Amino acid sequence: MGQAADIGKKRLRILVIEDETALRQTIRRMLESAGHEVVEAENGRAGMEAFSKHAIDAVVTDVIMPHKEGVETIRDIRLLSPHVRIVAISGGGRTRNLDFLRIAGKVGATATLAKPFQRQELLACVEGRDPPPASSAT
Amino acid sequence: MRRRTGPSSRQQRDMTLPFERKWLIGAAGELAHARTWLNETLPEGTWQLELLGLEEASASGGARIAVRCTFADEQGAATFTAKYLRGEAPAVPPPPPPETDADIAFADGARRILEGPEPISAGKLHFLGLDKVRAHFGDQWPKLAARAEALVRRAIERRLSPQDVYRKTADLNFVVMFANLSGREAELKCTLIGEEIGRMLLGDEMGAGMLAVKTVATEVNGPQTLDKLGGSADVAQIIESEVEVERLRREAPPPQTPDARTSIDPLDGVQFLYRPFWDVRRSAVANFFILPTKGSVGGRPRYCEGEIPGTEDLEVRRRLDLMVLERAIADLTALHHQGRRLLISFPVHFESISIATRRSALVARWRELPVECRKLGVFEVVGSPEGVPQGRVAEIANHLRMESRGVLMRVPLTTPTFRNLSDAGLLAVGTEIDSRSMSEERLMAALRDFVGNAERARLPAYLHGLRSFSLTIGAIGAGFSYIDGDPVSTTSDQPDEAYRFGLDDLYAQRLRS
Repeated sequence: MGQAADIGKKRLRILVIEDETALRQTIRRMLESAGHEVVEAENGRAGMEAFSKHAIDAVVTDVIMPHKEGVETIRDIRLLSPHVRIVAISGGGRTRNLDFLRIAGKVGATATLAKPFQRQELLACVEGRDPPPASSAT
Repeated sequence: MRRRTGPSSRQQRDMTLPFERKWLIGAAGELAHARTWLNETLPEGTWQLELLGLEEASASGGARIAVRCTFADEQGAATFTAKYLRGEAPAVPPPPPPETDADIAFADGARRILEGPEPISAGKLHFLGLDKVRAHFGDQWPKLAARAEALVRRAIERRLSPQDVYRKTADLNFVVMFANLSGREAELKCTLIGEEIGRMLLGDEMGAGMLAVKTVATEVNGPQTLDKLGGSADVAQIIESEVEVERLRREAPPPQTPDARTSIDPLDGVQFLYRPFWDVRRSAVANFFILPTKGSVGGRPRYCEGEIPGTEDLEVRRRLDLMVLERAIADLTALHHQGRRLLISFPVHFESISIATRRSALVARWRELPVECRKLGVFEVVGSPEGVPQGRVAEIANHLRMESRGVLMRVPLTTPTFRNLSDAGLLAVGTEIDSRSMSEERLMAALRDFVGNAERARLPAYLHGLRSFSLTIGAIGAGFSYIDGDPVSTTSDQPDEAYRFGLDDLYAQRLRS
């Protein structure tokens, strides 16, 4: 009943860029359950296209993706839109996930999350709130 | 129509009819002057000025721009000829009066930017295929063009900062000046805006493959450009000319690579390049792979492995292996004399070393190197058949690694298991990207599987030949210990120095380009 707790909060249109279909849909459910609208893209290239077509309030993007990876995508989105919230996620690879997230922060990610993460951590990041205690968010 | 004087006398050339003339113009500012003169002198649509390319640098050091001017009628060509050959000392033409408030705003904003602090950059967005579109829509074109222009303007304005300015210079052609972006950032921003506009028009009746948006951007030297303005010519034309010169520089054809001459010996003309082999875990490059190449295609070297006719022959491969070995020996000897410690890795075909006698002959030659040099060489066994028994692999690896730094083995990407390579004495197991046969999505999954298989065999994994940055990141994320390819570093004709190189360096390199 997440929606009852979220009444009064602004409904955001959130772009989710993630190549793993199952994870992308899980993130969609997490965000929609909080009353937000979700636009999906399966890689950075499709993500840029979606970002151009829709008025996006926040972006959640993976780092390791085919065709156009996430750090470059974050840099490009930031160049086009200085104020949109961008959350970088990583952890699908075997190694170096924290390094990817650190670099994502340097090029403009507003927040970073290491997989696996909880719904409340994700929502806190996209909504610009402090994350819950003992979280993997940075 | 106002008459204005033309380009300076030093640009004069013999003029002949009919209807076409080629010039060499000294600089972007003079190109703008020429355009202004033609705009003011001849009716619109009766002349066309085309940039042909850059000529070699003039004595002053700047490249000269070759242009072609064509005239729709003899009268236009004669007018130009008469003016040109009359030898009138040209007065610098005063700027044409701004046509609209928007033009005034652009001129003011551009000057303000040019007078401000660096970095200053300018870009141009122009549409290819407009002639086809005009012909296709005929009388409907003006209305459609107006709608497209409104869309394009909104797209540009949405992405500019308050200090940036832009102006239309022709049908669906726009020049943008950025107040605080480097040339690279301007290039990227123009590309992104151009892509956005292209997507907006796709699906529109004008899109459908008829139109393409092209962008180019460059840094602008504020003081130099202000000098060129000096009250003359249209500031938008000056800026546009600067960007056009940059476009010509980029589109100048690369030097021709002489192709290997035809020969009955497929190894005639083989040369060697070096590819840095990145140790991802240690964030360093201290190992260089020797790549035998022959000729090039599309600007890329052709690697003898699989791309050169004739190298599928076993005897040719054996000879190639000996050539590569000789090269490795020469390099290690030279490095030793220079006091440089670098690893040199080189491929050797399975057929050249699988039979003991052949392997012994090769190793005998290798042993002529001093031991301190041999310990900096790494053999990479390539072309081994699938399922070669572990004992065989161990026999080969143990023989070679006694005489070298170690042995790598390259296998196909989709090899299902590496059980036969486990505990065989290999340094690592690797593969080569073949992006022709798989999508990036499938490649990424295959890379993860490869590393997984290598880990089960307790072997580090390496990867050759990356060409895509996203795959490079995917390979790092998958857990490859060593990788190489253009996104990491291009090839060179000599082994470089060892250097530190980490993930931050990779991204810095990428995001700068």
